[in-house]
Amino acid sequence: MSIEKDIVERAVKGDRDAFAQLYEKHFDRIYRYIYFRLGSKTVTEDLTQDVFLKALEAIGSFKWRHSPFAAWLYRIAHNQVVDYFRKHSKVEKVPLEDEMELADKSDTASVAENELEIERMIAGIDKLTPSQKDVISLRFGAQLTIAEAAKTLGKNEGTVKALQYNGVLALKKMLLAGE
Amino acid sequence: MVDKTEEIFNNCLEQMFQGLSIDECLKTYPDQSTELEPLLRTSLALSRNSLDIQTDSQFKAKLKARLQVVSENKEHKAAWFFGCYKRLAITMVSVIVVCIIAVGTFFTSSNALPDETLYPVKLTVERLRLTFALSDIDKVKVNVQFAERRANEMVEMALQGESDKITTLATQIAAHLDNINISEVDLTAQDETARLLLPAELPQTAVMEATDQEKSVGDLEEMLNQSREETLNALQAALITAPESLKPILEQAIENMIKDYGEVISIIGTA
Repeated sequence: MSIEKDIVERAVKGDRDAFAQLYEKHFDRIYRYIYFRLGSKTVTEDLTQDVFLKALEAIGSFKWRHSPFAAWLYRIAHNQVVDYFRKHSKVEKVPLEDEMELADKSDTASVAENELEIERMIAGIDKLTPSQKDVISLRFGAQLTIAEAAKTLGKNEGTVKALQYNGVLALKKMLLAGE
Repeated sequence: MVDKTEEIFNNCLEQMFQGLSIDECLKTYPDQSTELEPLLRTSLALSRNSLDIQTDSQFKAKLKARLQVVSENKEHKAAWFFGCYKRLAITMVSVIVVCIIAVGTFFTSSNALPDETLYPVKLTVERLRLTFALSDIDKVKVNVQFAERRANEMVEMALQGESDKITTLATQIAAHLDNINISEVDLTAQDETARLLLPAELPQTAVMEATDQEKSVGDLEEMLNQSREETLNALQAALITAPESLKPILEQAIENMIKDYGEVISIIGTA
């Protein structure tokens, strides 16, 4: 049994420490995935919280045979994002420079450059088709594998690869056009 | 059909996720390098930008603490539900066990003999049956049935040589037959409600009452005669096999029973 499988099975049985380990492992990736989709720190935090609360509530009914744990968890995150868009047909984005937290704030010029780059990237992702947004966010935001992304979205791997290619191609064109 | 560039891009991207550089990948596919390079650089930028997004460590810690609290509450709730379920299950099992024991005791006691532990239970059940008999006629029938039971028990006791039990049982048979106080028995009781609903003056009603009464008396007389015959036959058979020392007691019991049955039957006959 793999280490993650063991941790997941303990969490399913109600082991709080095991759930805490899963939280530590997936928190950043879930956060980035949602941030890729929404581009707002406040909303991303709210939704990240909802994802883990829902996961905690439902972990007892998780069955490994249906899908890998990552696919199950990111499916919750994906549904939260979809629900959010359904409730707020137009997302009012907070200006990125007001709220973004970057890895290294020591170099002001570098920070500004990073902020700008992330802002452009999020703006570019926002213009992709919904399916391309899903795949790009899961692959580059959450860093899921093709197989995990396919399971999360309920699509086959070939479709996910095609969406990834077309998404990156579209983003390249947008970014080049913006330069 | 999958585009060749798309396939190469996906392969290169997978290799880059595993640590390969863009240049190394482009060297593998020199013919597609012009097309591939901007795509791979865009992908690399996406990955780097993603890693540049830092989560708020305070928020992360707060959420972790909240999840711990929710998890503890969930555990307590589950424990409380389990506790309630457990208590309910124990109560239900106890009730079922008590019912099984009560029903078992009830049925087992019906065959108990005077020298057995469950005999008092049998007598209690009989008293209850008498108390809850619906009409006087039912009471008569139940008393006759119990007198027969005592007679059967007497046969068993005779076989076991229990002389004192035989005397007690004979007294009980006499008591059951005495209970059949025919002068107080309302033989039309079963039809009382129907009678009240009919106009009192109608002559047909009086005829119907008389007919019902005759029928009830006839049924009781027949039942008692049958009971006497069966009881006495059983006791006569027991008398043959009983030890010599018991014979006088049994003979006396039979004699008394004949007298008691005779009295009851003659009273019913004149009712």
